[in-house]
Amino acid sequence: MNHKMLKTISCGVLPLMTLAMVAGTATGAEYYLRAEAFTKNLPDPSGVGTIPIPMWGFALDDSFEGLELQAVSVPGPRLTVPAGDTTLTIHLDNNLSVPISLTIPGQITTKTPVFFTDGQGRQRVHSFTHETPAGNTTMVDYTWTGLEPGTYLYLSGTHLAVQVQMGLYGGVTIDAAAGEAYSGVTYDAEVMLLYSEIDPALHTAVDDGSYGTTGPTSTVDYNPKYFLINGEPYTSATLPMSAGAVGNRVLLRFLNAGLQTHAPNLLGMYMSVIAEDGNVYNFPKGQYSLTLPAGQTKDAIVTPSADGAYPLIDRRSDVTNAGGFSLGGMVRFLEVAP
Amino acid sequence: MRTHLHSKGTQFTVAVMAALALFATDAYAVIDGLTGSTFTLSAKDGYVLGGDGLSIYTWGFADDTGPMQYPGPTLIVNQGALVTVSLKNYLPEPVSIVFPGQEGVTATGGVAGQLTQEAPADNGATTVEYQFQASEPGTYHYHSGTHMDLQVEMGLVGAIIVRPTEFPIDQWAYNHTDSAYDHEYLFLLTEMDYDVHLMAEFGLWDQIDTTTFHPVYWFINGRNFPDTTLAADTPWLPNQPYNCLPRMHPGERLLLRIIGGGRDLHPFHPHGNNTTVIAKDARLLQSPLGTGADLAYSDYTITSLPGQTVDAIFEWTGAQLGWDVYGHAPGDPMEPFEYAPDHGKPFPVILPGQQELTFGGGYSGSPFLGAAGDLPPGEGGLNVYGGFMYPWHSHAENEIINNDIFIGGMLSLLIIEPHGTPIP
Amino acid sequence: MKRIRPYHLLSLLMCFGVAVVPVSADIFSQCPPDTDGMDTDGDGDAGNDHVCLHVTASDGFVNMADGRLMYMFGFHDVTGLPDADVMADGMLGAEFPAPTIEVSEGQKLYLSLSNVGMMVRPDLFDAHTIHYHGFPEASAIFDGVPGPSVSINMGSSITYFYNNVEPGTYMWHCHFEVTEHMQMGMLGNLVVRPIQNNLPNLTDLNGFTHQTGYTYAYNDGDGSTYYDVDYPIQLHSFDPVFHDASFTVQPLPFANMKDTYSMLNGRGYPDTVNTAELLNTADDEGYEARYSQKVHSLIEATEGDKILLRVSSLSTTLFYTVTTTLGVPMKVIGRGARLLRSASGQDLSFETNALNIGGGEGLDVIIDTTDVGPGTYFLYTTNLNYLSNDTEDFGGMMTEIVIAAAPLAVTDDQPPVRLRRVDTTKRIRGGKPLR
Repeated sequence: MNHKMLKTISCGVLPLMTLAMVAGTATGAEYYLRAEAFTKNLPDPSGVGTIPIPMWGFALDDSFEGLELQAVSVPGPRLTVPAGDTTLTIHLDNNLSVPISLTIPGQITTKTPVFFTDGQGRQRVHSFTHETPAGNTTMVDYTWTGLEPGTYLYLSGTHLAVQVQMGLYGGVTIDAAAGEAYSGVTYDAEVMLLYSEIDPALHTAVDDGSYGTTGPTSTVDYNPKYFLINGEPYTSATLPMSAGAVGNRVLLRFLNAGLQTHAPNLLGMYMSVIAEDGNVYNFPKGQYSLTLPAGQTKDAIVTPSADGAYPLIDRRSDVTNAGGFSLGGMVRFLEVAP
Repeated sequence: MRTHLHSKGTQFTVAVMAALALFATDAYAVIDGLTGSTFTLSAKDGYVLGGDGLSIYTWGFADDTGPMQYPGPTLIVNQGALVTVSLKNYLPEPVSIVFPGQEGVTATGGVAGQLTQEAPADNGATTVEYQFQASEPGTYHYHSGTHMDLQVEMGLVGAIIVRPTEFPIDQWAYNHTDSAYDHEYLFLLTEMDYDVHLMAEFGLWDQIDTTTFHPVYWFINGRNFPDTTLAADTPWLPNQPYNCLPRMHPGERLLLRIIGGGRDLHPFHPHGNNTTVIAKDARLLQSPLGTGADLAYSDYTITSLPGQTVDAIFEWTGAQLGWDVYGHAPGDPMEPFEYAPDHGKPFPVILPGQQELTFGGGYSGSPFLGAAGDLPPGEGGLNVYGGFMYPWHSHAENEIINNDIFIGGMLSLLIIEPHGTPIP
Repeated sequence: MKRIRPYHLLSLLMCFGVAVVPVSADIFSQCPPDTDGMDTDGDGDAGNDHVCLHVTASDGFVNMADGRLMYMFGFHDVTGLPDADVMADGMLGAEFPAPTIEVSEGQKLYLSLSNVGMMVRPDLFDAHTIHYHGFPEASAIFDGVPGPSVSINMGSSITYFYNNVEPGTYMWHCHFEVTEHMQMGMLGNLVVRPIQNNLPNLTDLNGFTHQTGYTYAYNDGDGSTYYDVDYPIQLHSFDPVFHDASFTVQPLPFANMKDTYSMLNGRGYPDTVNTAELLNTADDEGYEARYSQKVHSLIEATEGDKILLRVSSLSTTLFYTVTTTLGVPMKVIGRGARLLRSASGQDLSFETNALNIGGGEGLDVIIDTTDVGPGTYFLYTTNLNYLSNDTEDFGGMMTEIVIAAAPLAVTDDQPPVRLRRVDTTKRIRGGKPLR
């Protein structure tokens, strides 16, 4: 593996720096991720004040237990693999109190599941692949080879029912070439929309140790109250997201790290839905609505013919913050410049 | 469980008999709604009747000064028309309307809301005017764009049908023969969480939490089964004018216009045969270089997504059953669209004796289409033409109840009528 | 008003020499011989196209993966059993899921259903039906919906007839008081294999050479739905409160139905991977212990195999999304028992990692394991909160996919020799002789 230090981060805008890279040789992208607990403040349903929610998240470092490039966040940092890279390695530093692991559904790696034996002698999987122990002192690597272009999630592969909803997820994007999501699918601008949910009761139970002991013993009663896009619910203070200009081909990358299906509906424009889970359709679908099941990604291209702020709403009506009466949750406005 | 059977049997009987009694009217001719290009919708409150008879406090759009409707009036417009919808609000909070799938919608008047202009809660004093060009034909819907998680739940949703320029010269849903149909029916699918409606009725706004969504009523066109099968505009359902009782003859093409109007996905299962999905979100499933619905697919259950519309074609002839579905003797004349190789083939099994069977009210007493047979006293009687009935329903089977009572909810019946039976 | 046609059932049937009232109320399975002289399933035998199966409907018990004993209603396979022995064998015989029915295109299925009653609930006298979910061009009488047709009473039998002309993945379930009877467990897999499987050796399919023993999901005409192993995977879910209410003769909580056991083929993880038939613990309640969970979901293949998953859902409440950890996409090649190819020939198949599937929906999915290394992988729901057996976690809707290393010896110009595994999934197979 080519161990060049590549830490390409972007936050919703096409990273032009990939253009500057030398293409042509198969190389590997490499990131150092740190998992850590933190507290996230979410709006109180009354509209006044916030409620602290214990979360688990990822952050980007420059080396194992080295310089912390970012604060830990949910979702974790977007990993923008430079076009042309064929392998991806993530070095994991686990500052949580439980073992974790990493998976990228839709990319190939060798997996070594970790099982435990239950009271009846039955083997049950704990992790879909090798674990990074809590407080690891040597870094644990996760490597994917033969990378396929597209929009993907990275997620904890350990005790998923608990760890994913606690926040151990993020997005990975791999372009076929600069400005080209898939072979022949070019775009001028992009918007990353990562959907997820929070059930505060579960977070509290996991955080205070009552999960599995004196509190809930499974996630079956999951009842999310907060509905996030890119880690934040909509509030009246949420700014529109820049979505290119009139005539642009704007790539909308939808990712659902939540546990429930969502139904993004775009008002005022049709999308051309081109791919799901990194797999390009034989024929694009012209729709204003989108089925976004749990764990799935979808890519769509819009070509706005007029400027303005186009509402993108979750038609499953998860557009509230914990039942409050103001517009909240999974709502964004896509701002198209003239 | 037997204790529930009586309610099912009774409701089924009443509904279907009422429906059949009204076949002579025009109530079934086309999809009901308002035609034209200029509409006034008034957001009002009122009550709808659940299939179990319970009154449910509801918000809905009315045709101007008319009664509150659930769902709102179906707006039937022609392709190319400049559509104007004026909104007045008689509800206790601001209301607006959004039109998914329409481009270039303008909104004037009222107060700026987050998604669009809103009509404030001023007892109808303010009018907001929405305008758009109905540029593409198809099946659409409209719903509140304000406090959606509550207001759509409360009932502020309705259908829009844009007739193609080819219509009515050709009875097509889109400007292509792949969308031709003999009969069209609307399936606007919604659900209600009764607790929210109860709290709204009593003004307990601070107790409403839409994240605890727990629907107990499921609707097609604003009615629960068995009310879906009643005639349209039944006087005792003044706020639920639309019905859903599809009927066709063998060999005909029936167009389903399915709208996901609520919050949940519904696996809609039309018994009888696969359907061919020809359009989604009012766009023919057409390849970039193709013509017509060249990407149409066949399925036995149609997933309805909130906010999405689906158009599908259902056909049935009874082909290849391996027995003569009309019960012909080999020398009898053929029926239209009859599958010739099965003509005169005998019924394949021996049916149990009457004492061994529980009979449905829709059973004619005969397994053959257009035929009747002997039934024990008091059985059958709802199938006057000897048609074949098929439930068309949500296959999330918990959605075919009315609150705690089976059977009801998101369910209607297709009746395949023998040739010659009048279908308006 | 138009008059009913002057057909008269009695005279019609009599003229074909069929008795209307055959016997007194009794168990009565029907299996007319195949005498039409035509080989409709294409296997070269004109006399074996009739498939006769016989199932009972009754109550019974199953254990959830957390050990909880659950009262249920279900079907049980009594094919081949003398009618006189059916009542005794059928009582408390409910299985979850129902036995998998597997027939071939061109076969005529005579499916007899005997209602043997509810042993635990003598207060119930429910009738039953069979709904062959997705059967094309269905007639009302064999659609199994009580309102428009007939249901079979306790102590009696009805025989359904299906001329299988469309291959694909179907389901079957009871439609009598359907919300209750499906929640209680009267449902299972149904597969119709395509006639293309029976082509002569070395038939050319548009460049793909068919060989005897090759199997396909559909009559694709080009080998695109070829597979090495297939597994029906049906998604199920139970609400323990509902089942307990039924067991204890309480009002049934329809409005509050909440499924907390999410399952594949009638089991939660880790029972999904146990290839044995599971003996229930009904003896704890004073009833006979029976083998009531006979369908496992362990998916086994050899590196390079094409796996066909026949994924369907008969959950009474929920949509589920399922995915795998294989890293390679699932290719959806069929839905609703039809090849995903439009009438004009367009290829509508698509690749995905996530199947979102509601009750009554069916998808055919081919996974090409060529790029998958040997090892253990997982098929699981991405509705991760349902990776639980009610209040027990590390369970729920999940199973394992075990990929074995490919055999080393591969000759030069021949395709790799695949090991044909013995299918341990319990199925009622079409073509097996009756009696």
